[in-house]
Amino acid sequence: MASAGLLRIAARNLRKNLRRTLITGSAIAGGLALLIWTGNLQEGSYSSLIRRGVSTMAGHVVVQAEGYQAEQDMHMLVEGAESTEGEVQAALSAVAPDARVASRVLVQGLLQSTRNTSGVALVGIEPSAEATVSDWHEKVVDGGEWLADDDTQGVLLGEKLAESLEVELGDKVVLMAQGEDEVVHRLFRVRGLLRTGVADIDGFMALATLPAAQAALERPGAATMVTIHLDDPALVPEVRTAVAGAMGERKVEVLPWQEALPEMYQFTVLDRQSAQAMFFIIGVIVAMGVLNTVLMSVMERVREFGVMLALGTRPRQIFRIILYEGIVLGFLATSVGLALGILTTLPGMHWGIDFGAMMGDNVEVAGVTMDAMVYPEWDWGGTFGSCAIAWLMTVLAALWPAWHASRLEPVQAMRQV
Amino acid sequence: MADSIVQVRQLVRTYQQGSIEVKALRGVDLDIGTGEFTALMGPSGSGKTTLLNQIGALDTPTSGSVKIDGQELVGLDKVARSSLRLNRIGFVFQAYNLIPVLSAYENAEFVLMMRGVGEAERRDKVMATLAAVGLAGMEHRLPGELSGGQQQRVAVARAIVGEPALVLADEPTANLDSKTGYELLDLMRTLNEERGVTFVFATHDPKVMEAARRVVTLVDGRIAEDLVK
Repeated sequence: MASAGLLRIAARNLRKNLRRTLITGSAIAGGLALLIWTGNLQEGSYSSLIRRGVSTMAGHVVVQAEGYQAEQDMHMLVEGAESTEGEVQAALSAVAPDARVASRVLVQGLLQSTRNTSGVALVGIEPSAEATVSDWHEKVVDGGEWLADDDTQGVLLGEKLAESLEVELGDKVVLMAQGEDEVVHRLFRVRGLLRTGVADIDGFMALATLPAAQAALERPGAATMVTIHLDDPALVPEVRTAVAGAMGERKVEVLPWQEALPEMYQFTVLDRQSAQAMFFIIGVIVAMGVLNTVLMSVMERVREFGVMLALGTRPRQIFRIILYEGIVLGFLATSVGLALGILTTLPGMHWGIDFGAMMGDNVEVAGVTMDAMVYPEWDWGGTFGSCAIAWLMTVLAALWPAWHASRLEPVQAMRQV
Repeated sequence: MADSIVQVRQLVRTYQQGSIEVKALRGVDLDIGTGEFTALMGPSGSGKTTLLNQIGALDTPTSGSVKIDGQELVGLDKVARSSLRLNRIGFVFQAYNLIPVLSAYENAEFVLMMRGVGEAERRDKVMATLAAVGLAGMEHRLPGELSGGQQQRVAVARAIVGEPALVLADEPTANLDSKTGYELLDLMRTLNEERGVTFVFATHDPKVMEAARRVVTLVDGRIAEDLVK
């Protein structure tokens, strides 16, 4: 019952100093809204980065030959790619029936034209399946065409690679690679050029069909990786377990994208951590502002607290009045901040936020292009975490002034003017 | 004399002001009976307010004993003294000292609320007390919307609403004009006579001394005269 009275006094004090409450509350709400908006924007950019990186460079889960991740030896292959795909599909039917599976073969070698020679990373793909898991087919420059599944001679070259080789559509190029036993030469015809915006891809990558790449390694039917692509990345652990179980005793490693693409994963982790450090600093600055305000408000009311103590209010009840002020102010400001954070995130989710003027059309992160257009995504964990921290910081900022007020001696306090 | 509600024995209070030791009370003995209307008077620095603070458990003595309704105050901790003030003593201060964010009703209700009294009982008691001090119809006004006299009436209502054993009033009329001061004294005298509320005043005001039935004069921290009219 006394709590209701103390809460009433706390709420009235906040209302009495309305301007100060509004200014302090605005600082908390504004800071929180900024944190929520930035967090959601960051989440959107990570999702975009992961989606694109995972789709083109690995999969949400990959099956590779045992030891390949450590060695990166192009001759360490998964034998029987087609049957492996079948077993993976069967394992996925229970945990992620909508998942898509595609095999890839990576061949490193030299590409020769009639005029020049260049190093190349040729990726053998299943064109139809690949088009369902990555956006390479959308990167074919006008005039070129995506590969057909049965095209064993066609190749798509990175635009810069074609420039350095001085070849055009329809020209012939020869791949020279180290096969199983001897150096293999294989003739390809340029079907199209790829423009991704990533220097490494545009300058050194080529796409051919899976059988053509397997032939270049003299390993028909084998694949560097069988990639699994999920609609819901949260299913990665379950899918990994199911697929690993299906692989049984086979000499393969089943890795989530975080292990298959450690650079990209580390980038997101470090970026998140640096953002959290920045958020913490903002939080501390806001908390110092709140502390200053609450302390000022307490110092102005020393006489009032002295009277309350004289009337028999216990020191801990005085403590609670000020704590309640922090709790109420924190709750109101956090609610407003949450609403503002959501409202400022929504337009970006719909229309996107164009960072083109700041970073050009594309920016490369860990070997992956990020779109200049970023669509924020809800990071509810981060959003509610930020709300909880903002509220907690406000309450913590009230603790010291509350403790100070609770230690007042009534006679001395009532002498204050 | 009726049963003693206040028993003070050999009360000494000294303060340290820099290197100087100030003896505010130098061995005071005083008994105040239930239902008394007593004024403590004396020049500034005579120890009136210090004695009132000791009786009100607002301060601790250097030596001696203070009992309220038989309970020894010396040795009580902060919480126990708070509890005693809340349940046994009412206060009226010179500067009214109402809680500015609470209405007249809520100020009067404050002590009952802190005691944990139920809402219905609080309402009955507060409304009756505000009516008794002449503030019916002004329950919802904030202190800033009341005159000095009205604010002091709210303070009196706050002091008596919990039916304490004793009401201590420190210069209650000092901030009021003469007419309002007389009206307030009449009110307190009526509450004393009709409800048996014990009042002890610390005052310079001749009006209070005139109204008091007992006047205790302090000089240099000692009782110089104790006059029962």
